[in-house]
Amino acid sequence: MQDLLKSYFSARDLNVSEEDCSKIAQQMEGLDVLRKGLDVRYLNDSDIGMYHRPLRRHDNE
Amino acid sequence: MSKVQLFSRTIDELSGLIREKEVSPVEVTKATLERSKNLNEQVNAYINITEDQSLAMAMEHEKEILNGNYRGKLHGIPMALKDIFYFEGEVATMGSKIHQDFIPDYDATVVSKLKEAGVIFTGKLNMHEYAWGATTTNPHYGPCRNPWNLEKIPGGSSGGSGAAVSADMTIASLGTDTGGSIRIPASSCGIIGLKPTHGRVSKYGCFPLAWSLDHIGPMTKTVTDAAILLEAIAGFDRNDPTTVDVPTAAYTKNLNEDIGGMVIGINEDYFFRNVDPEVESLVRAGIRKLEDRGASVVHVEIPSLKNAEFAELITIMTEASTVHHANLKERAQDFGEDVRLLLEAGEVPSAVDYLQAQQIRRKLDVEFAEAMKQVDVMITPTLPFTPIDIGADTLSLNEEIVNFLDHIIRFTLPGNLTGLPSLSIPCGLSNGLPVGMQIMGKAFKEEDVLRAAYAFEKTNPMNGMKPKLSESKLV
Repeated sequence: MQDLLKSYFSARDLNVSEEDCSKIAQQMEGLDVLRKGLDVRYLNDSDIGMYHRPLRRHDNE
Repeated sequence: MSKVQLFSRTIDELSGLIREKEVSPVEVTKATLERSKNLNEQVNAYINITEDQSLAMAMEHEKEILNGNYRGKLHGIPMALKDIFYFEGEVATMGSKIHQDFIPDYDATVVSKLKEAGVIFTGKLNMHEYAWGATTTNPHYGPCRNPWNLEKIPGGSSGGSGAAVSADMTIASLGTDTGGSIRIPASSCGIIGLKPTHGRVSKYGCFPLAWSLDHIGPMTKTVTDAAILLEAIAGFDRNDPTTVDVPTAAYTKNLNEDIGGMVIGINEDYFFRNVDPEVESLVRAGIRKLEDRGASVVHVEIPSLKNAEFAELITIMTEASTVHHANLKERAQDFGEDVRLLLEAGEVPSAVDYLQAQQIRRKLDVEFAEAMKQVDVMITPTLPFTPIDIGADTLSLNEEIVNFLDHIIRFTLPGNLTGLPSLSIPCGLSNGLPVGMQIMGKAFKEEDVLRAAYAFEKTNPMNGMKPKLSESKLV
């Protein structure tokens, strides 16, 4: 993961140290745990619209 | 009238005294400035105290009031704001090194509105660098400290605002809130913090953290003061495309309405899971006090809350990294270490992650709207635990070591994802540190949230307690 991150940052022209890559790898593991809890099919719900929009005038009614 | 009495007063109290010319804006401003100068070495709530400028402003307003031109409740009230709002011709640091010399050439809309209302600005308040964090342990301007215990964080990112209001170093303040940055310091410092509905208050001239989650709102000593400030800053603004043209209410008018018949929603699965037992007990006692006053409680289900943390983290991380992308490339070394790491990490999630996060938000919008049909407000703990030591980034919660940032925003983040109005009100002390109770309402129904909070405030949950600080220069 750390090597992948290093290549990724380098390709994006971002100078990220090895130490930071190691800490970011840990953060990504935390996100992976949350990501694994998603049911992707349940998210693709065309009945309610596919994704968030900001609140509008009548949203309290 | 003694200075001690003046700086510890509320907007509502002072406005009556100023209107009747019993107290002058210069007296109040001098008392607040003196208090701030005496305490700032300990609390570090201010990045910059603008003494000469505020005294000059106070003299102008005093003259105007003596000439019979009283503008309203905020006229002649000294106030310091988080250093994230633009004031024309004045440095706005955003708590950063990169923007340490940045001088905007226009006022933020909230600043213009407060200027028009006659507020006297006493300085710029400390904050977590670029609002990206919840400790206000700022590497460039020093850590802000919690007035209840100077070894503890005041919360953040509006930690300077929370600490300054709590320590009577300002009469009131404004903060910004992207994952809880008004409500976290409000809870940690024992004050009121109101994040209004998304679109209720213009963000024009406020430096963004994550644009789809950002909000601006009042941080005050009382619920009435929060209502006064909201009245002053709310409203549609052509300069901010996210503001919504919904009529604002007279938020101070109906505060005292009976809450008999009010229905409170409780969600046990998400908002009462993995909470410090003393925090949970104080919040449940708070709910019982509202039941004693005639409210009833129903249980509501919001299944998509199980994915809310993913949606918040992905959205805040990626939007923040988008805002700072150029500086991360060119000046990475000028960010504090914690913010640099978060910004670097925010470059990694995919477009699919971001869009799934927005899909989860839509689910939450719909489920919250459905749940809110059954209730007037929802009540939750504001935070799962009390403030941690300055410098710590983990803590023990129910015998498990957990990451501070992930957990501190757990109960506040649904308000940012959905945009629903949410307020934190103190409900007691645990080991000498304040605990906050969060009241969430329907979209654009801040008046319901304020009415419930006002009824709860009348039960005197803090028993009149305030932080004990000694003004070293006076002793």
